[in-house]
Amino acid sequence: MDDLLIKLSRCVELGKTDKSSPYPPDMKGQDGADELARQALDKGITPDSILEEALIPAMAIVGNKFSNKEIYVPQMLMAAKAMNSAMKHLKPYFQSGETRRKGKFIIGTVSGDLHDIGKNLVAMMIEGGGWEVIDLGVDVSTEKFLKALEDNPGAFIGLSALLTTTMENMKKTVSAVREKYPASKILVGGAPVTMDYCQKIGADFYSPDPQGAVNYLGRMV
Amino acid sequence: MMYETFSFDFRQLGITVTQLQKDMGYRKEAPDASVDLIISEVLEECETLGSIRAEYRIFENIEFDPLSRGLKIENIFFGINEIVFNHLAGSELIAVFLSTAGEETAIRGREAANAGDPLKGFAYDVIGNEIVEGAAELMNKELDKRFVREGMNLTNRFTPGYCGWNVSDQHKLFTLMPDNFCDISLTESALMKPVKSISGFIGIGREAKRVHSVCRFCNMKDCFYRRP
Repeated sequence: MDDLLIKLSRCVELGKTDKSSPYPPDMKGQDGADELARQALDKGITPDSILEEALIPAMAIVGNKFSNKEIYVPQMLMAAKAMNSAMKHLKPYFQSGETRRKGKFIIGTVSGDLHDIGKNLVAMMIEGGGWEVIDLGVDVSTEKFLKALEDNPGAFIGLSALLTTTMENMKKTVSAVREKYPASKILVGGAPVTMDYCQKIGADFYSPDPQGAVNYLGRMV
Repeated sequence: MMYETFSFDFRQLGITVTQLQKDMGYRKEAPDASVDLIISEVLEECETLGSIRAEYRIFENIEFDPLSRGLKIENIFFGINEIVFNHLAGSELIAVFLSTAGEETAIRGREAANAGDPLKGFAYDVIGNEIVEGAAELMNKELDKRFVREGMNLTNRFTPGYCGWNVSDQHKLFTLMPDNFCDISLTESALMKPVKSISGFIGIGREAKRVHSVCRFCNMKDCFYRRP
C-alpha cells in the first residue's frame, strides 16, 4: 500500500485532522488527514483506494477499539472529525458518480426521544464504513421515516431510543416500515434495547455498539 | 401553595473539569490533552450563560394507589410505575419541579457539530446536562433546608421518561405548573424546549429517603448516563 495511505489511515485513527491540530502531540506540525487526502488525490491515487484502503479500515479500528472499551466517545469523535476532513476531498467524486458508496443508511432517534449521542456515533461510524448516511435527527415520526424510505428506495434504516418509554414508538415505526416496505432491513439500538426486544418487534439487527452495525451492513453488500 | 423560583449564575454550579471528564466516559483514566483543552474552552465559554433557572411547587393533595402503582396530585393521575412508586410512596408532600439550562448550550453545541467539530458539540451536550442537573441540585438543597426544620426528608428526583414512568405524563405534570414556567414549553410528543430542561417529582416526608443513585434500580445496564 502507498505510504500516503498508511499515513492517512493513521491520522484518521488517531484523530489528527490537519497540520494545525496540535494532537496527538507526537504528530504536532505534521500533515493531517486533510492534507494527506489531498496529496493522495494529486498523486493519482483513486478516491476508491483512499476510501477502501485508508479511511474505512481506520474507522473500523476505531470502532473495534470502542467496542473493546479501549477508547472513549471523545476519541471516536476526533477520529470522525479527521475522517470528515479527508472525506470533503472525496465528495466531488461521490457526487459525479465516479466513486460509489456501499449504499444508503437512514437513521433517526424515534418519536418522543431527544437523545442523539448514540445515534450520532452510529451515523459517523457507518459513514466511515463507506455508506451514505441520511440523518433524520431526533424525535422522528414514523411518517418521516417512511418518507425517507420512499425517497431512498432500498436504503437500510436505523432506529435509536434511549428512554424505555419511547421504545414503544420504536415498535410502532418498525411495524409501519414492515407493512409498507417488507424487504427493508431495520437496525435498532440504544441503551434500553436488547436482542430480545429487537426480535420481538420484528427488527432485523441489534448491536450494543456502533461497530456491530457497521459489520452487519458490511455483510449485507 | 408553596413555591419558589431560582436563577443561577453558571459559577454557582461549581462544574469542574473532572466532572465533565467523567461524564464523557473517563472514569478510570485521564483523557488526553486534546479533550481537556476542549473541556476548558467550553467551560470558559459557558461563564457568561444566563437563563439557568429552577422552580418548584409543593402539593399537599396527593394520593398513592398501590394497586396501579400510581400517584394522584390534585386528582390528576400519574402512572409513575414500580421503581418511582417504591421511592415516593409514603411521602406526605410532593414537590413538582422544573429546571433549565436555557437554549444556549444546545445552540452552541449544534453550531460546533455543524461546523465540523463533533467533540466540541459533545462537550456542550455534556455541560448542558451538568448545568440543568446542577441547577436542580441547588434548588433541591434549598428545598431540603426548608423542610429539614420540620423534621422532613426528601427523596431523589424522578423524571417522566425514566425508571418506567412514561414521558407522556409530562403533559399532565405541566398542568400543575403556571404557563411558561421557567420559559419551558412542551412538544406534542412531550419533549421539553429548551432541550436541556428537566421536570419531575420529589417526595417529601418523615420517612422519605434519598439514595446515592437510582441507576442501580434501572435495568438499562449500557446506558450512557448510568452512574455508579
